[in-house]
Amino acid sequence: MKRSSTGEIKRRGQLASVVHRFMKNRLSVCGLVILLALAIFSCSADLFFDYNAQAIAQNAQARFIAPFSEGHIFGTDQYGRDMFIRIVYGGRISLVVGFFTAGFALVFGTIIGAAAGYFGGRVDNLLMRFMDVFLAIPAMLLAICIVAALGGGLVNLLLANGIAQVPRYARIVRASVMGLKNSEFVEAARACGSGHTRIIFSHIIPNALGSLIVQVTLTMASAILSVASLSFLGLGIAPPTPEWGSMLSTGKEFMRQAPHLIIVPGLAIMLSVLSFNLIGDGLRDALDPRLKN
Amino acid sequence: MGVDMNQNAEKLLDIKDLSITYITDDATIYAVNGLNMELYRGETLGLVGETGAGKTTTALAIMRLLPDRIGKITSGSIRFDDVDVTAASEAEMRTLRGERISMIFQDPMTCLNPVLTIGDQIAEVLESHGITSKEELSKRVDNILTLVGLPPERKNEYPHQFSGGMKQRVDIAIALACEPQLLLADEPTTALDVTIQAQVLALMKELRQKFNTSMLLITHDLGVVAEVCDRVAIMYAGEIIEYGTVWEIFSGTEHHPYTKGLFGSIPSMSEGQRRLRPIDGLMPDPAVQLQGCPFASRCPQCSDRCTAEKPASHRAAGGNIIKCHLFEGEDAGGGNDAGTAG
Repeated sequence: MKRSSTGEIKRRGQLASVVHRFMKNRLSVCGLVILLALAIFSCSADLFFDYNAQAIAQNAQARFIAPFSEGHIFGTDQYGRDMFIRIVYGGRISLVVGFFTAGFALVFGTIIGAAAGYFGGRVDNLLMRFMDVFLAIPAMLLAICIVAALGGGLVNLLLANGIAQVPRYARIVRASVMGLKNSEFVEAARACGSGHTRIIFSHIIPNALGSLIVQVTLTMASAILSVASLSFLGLGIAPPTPEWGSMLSTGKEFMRQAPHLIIVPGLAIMLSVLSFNLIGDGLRDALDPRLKN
Repeated sequence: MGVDMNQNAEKLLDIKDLSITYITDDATIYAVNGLNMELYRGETLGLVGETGAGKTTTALAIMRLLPDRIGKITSGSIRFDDVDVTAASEAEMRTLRGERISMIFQDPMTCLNPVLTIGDQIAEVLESHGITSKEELSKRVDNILTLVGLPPERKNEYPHQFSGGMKQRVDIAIALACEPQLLLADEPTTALDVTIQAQVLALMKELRQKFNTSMLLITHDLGVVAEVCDRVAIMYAGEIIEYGTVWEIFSGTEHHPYTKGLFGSIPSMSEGQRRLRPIDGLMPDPAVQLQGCPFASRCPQCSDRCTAEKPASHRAAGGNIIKCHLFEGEDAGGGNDAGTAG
């Protein structure tokens, strides 16, 4: 919203200055590049590959081909399927799980946390003690229980991970809301006749968004890890669907003769989690106005 | 500034015997004790007093925005036009706030939301009071911004891109967006420097006349009061101890000892160098309910009666109402109806 009269004086919008500060952090930009590459490959996979013919169908002639040979850069697995294609399709699941878990936790955690923080008193006590119960159960154990009760599959996995993450968001949001609800602009909004919902959603939550965005990236990382772990244990996505955790699980039997069967999915998990964490770090610094320079 | 200029005017705000307490775990604070106040349509009333006298509490009570669970109206009534504020439902109050009564806050730096554009914040008031069409909203926002002297093109900017005086203009724009009948201004110029102060006061005066808005101006700056107000109420320890027109208060000869003390604390430009005469002592502890006059402990003319018995309101010869035993004999007719000032 630059005015022509003041010329090109340094007057960036808030978003632009956050982006600028983020871009100064090289590690975070690395993370963003890795993530973008992963996202682009996963999204456009269907343009280049045939899912059923190349990622699922077995090919007995091409088993255990080593990486970087015979046109398979990541080699092939015990059924002769190209590892690169399977990694790319596995990335789809990981990304979907990451985004939806974080989205689920964000929406419900924010609503619960905002209600608890804003109304305080009995509402706060009731909601937060309920959240404490969830926090007391280890997230992995909770996810295992939910998957065991409801069965595997993508939707149940999302649900299991999401529910386990909700209390974290509720706590973060509640803390910021409690600080913000006494600020003068909230009082001013009340004096203007704004209702509770409007005050919460258009005045308080936008101010608390900074810490939430950081938490979202971290949740995505942990959700990817968690789904891989569940699949590794045989509770998540079942073979032959390509999923990094289950690829690792089936590959471990051939660890000695074909180490690339576990190295490749292991690296994929590591890199994606790392990239989310790096982005989270960079965002936290970029969104913190005290570190402005 | 005639004495009886408002005798025929319509009463907009009528506060009777209002008492407010703050109840915390540690203590009960008696913030406002038996306050009576009237405000007529189009009139400006200055509410003057030192920090902690209960001025802001009174304003919040008028909007019924006292802190939940802690602040309580223990007795008395507040009537705004045809609404009984103490008895109205929350939904009724919400339609009142912003549309018929609005408030300007002390610190323009903190009372705007840092993450919303100022245009959105002005639009919000209009939106919560029934204007929904996008074009209408943006037209009204442009209008009100022009009215307070800001270029409408800047409505898409954020509060941090404005200076303090401009932010106060935005506040005034928000407060006046719905053309309210009553404006509560809680020290609107305290956070501004003197030149900007004069601009903002002039702006408020102009807009008030335009919309025929009444104003309750809370301040401890007697200069501002003399500039803007029609009537003045001097508040001390939760009570109004003197009440009259600006003329009566600033030019009259008979005053409450506290008012005398207040004026004695202002440096004079005309007289030669003299030391200021501040009022000794502090305001009484608001956690204690007093038997007698709240000013007794600091009053140079205090007698035994002052510590034992609460003074009633008396009309002084000049026409102003004074709550003090010293003026008991002097009732200039009709003033002694237990503090119903005016």
